[in-house]
This record gives sequence, C-alpha cells and structure tokens, in this order.
Amino acid sequence: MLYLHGGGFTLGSAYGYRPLVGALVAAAGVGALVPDYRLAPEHPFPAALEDAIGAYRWLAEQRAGAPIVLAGDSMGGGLACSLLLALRAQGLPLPAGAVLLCPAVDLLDDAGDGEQRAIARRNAEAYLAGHPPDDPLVSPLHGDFSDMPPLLIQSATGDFVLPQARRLADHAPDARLELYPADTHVFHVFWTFLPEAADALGQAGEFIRSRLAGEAAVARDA
Amino acid sequence: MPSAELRLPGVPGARLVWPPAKPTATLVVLAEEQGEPLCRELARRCGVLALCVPCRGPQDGTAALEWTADHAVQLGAAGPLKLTGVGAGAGYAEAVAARAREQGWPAVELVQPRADLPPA
Repeated sequence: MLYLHGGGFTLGSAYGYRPLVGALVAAAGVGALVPDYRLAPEHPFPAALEDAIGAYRWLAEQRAGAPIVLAGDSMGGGLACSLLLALRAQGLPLPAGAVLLCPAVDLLDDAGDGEQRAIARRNAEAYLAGHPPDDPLVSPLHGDFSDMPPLLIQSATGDFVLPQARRLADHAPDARLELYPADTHVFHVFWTFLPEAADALGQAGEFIRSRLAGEAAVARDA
Repeated sequence: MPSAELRLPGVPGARLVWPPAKPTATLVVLAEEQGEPLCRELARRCGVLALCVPCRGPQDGTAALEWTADHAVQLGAAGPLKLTGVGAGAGYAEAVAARAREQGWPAVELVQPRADLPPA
C-alpha cells in the first residue's frame, strides 16, 4: 500500500507515522511505502501531489503491475483522493482502492472552531500559496469520482471534519462510510488502548486485503 | 442520502441515515434485522436523523438510545429524541422507553409504529 500521512500539508513524517502505519500493515498483511512528501510553506502545491504521484509510479514499477491500495489520514486522505484524480487525468493505472482515515477533502470548508480552525486555515493558506482552493486537486470533494475504485472512509462521531467525510461518501458512488464512536480527529493513532481504534484498523486491514485479492483475481482471469 | 455503518461496541450492525436537510429530530429505530430501507424512507420523508439498530433485546436498544442521547449533537442532529420499533423491535422499544422513564433519562418520545408513512 502507499500511505500518505496527515499533518495539514505542513507537518508529519514517515518516521513519525511508523507506529500507526505499522499497525495498519499488521492488520492488512501487506507492506507500506510511506513517502516523506515535501511540506508547506517551503513547498506549496503542487509539491506534495507531485511527490505522491512520483511515489505511486515508483511503487507501481517495483510491483510490476501487481495491485496497490492507497491509504491516508486527515489531509493525507485528501491527498490520496487528489492522487486518484491526478492519476486518472494522466491516464495512469488506478489503484485497487483507497482507505481514508478521517479524511479532510475540502479546503473551502471552514471546519472546526477556535484554535483548530485557525490552524487549519493557516495550513491551507501555506499549502495553497495563492492557488484557488476550489481546484479538485487541492479540494478533491469538488472532483469527479465516477468510475473511481472503491473507497473505505472511516470517521469519528467527534471528528471536526466528519461533515467532509460524509459529503465525500455521498459524492463518490463507490464509497463506504464507517463511523466510530470516538471524540477526536484521527482517533486511529490511539489503537494501543482505544478499542474503537483497534476495531477501525482491523476493518481497514480487511478492506485492503479484499481489494488486493479481488484485483489479483481479475488480473489472473484476464 | 448519506448513510454510515455506526460501529457501536456491543451493538453490531447499527446504521445511521442522514436526512437531506438539517435533521428535525433524531429517531432510533429498533428492528429485528435489516431495517435500513425503512430508515432511509423515514429520513427522506420525515427529515429525521435515523439510527437503525438491529435489536436482539431491550439491552441493545437501551445501549443505542443512551449513546444517541449523548452524541446526537455531534452528528448534526437537532430537535427531540424519538424511539420506535418494527416487528419484535416494537416490543423492545416499549421496554426501552419504560426503562428510560423509570431512570429519568434520556428524555425520549415513543412513536407508535404505523404501517403507513406520511405522504412524501
């Protein structure tokens, strides 16, 4: 799988995501590539997306046509959706599916309150650097998801971007939304002690397994 | 209409259906098993946030109702909390509502299930 970490396009690293991605790898039974894509404000749009495309193409080459699943949390989930749109626009083979953990998919949505909203705004401004926020490549909720591979969207009842996840589930024809009774954004990081988070990673792992098995069978039959 | 699988611990298979506009009420529907088509109809026609609970007994219903009372606001719900049931769920709904009345929480209105829905 190709895992795109969250952090509002300004924070996060492959190193810091080892515990969460490791748990997802264990649940799915497949390895993960976690690129250290370039971050804003030093590297605004389209740096993160270009790096994600580069990582995907490299992985596809290494895997010699074997199926790949995308995964990502928060803004990384949004980046995974942008990647889907960019791959299709460039005529590249699409992944077998995508797992989106509490995805943020709309920079036009002024979600959250107080400090949370201020941080989200600052991050969005740093990433956009003047780029229009309604471009589907930065706000994939405004893109066309017809004929996209299956999406598993997991969100929490207390996640401040739940409305975005809900709108994406409504907008994408082949999307399944799972809602977990947890009070935070990306509650998955608490998988060591929060049963709901362990449940979510288990479900995500099962989805990845079944998507990869399904695509492998299609390739065999072809 | 957006819907989600709500992964409540101890209450497997619960599903949430949002109405097209801001919910006018939250309705917990206790059904024996697949009550989702009914919940979709209720959300669409009555504008309620509908939580469909495949109920094996009053305990499941109470767990779902109490969780909903605490969290409906997080789900974008406004208005009163209501409860109904279909099939065996109708009996469970009565028991769950009676228990809520006895303990004094949560405030819930028991809606008698009807065969006919209000006109669309």
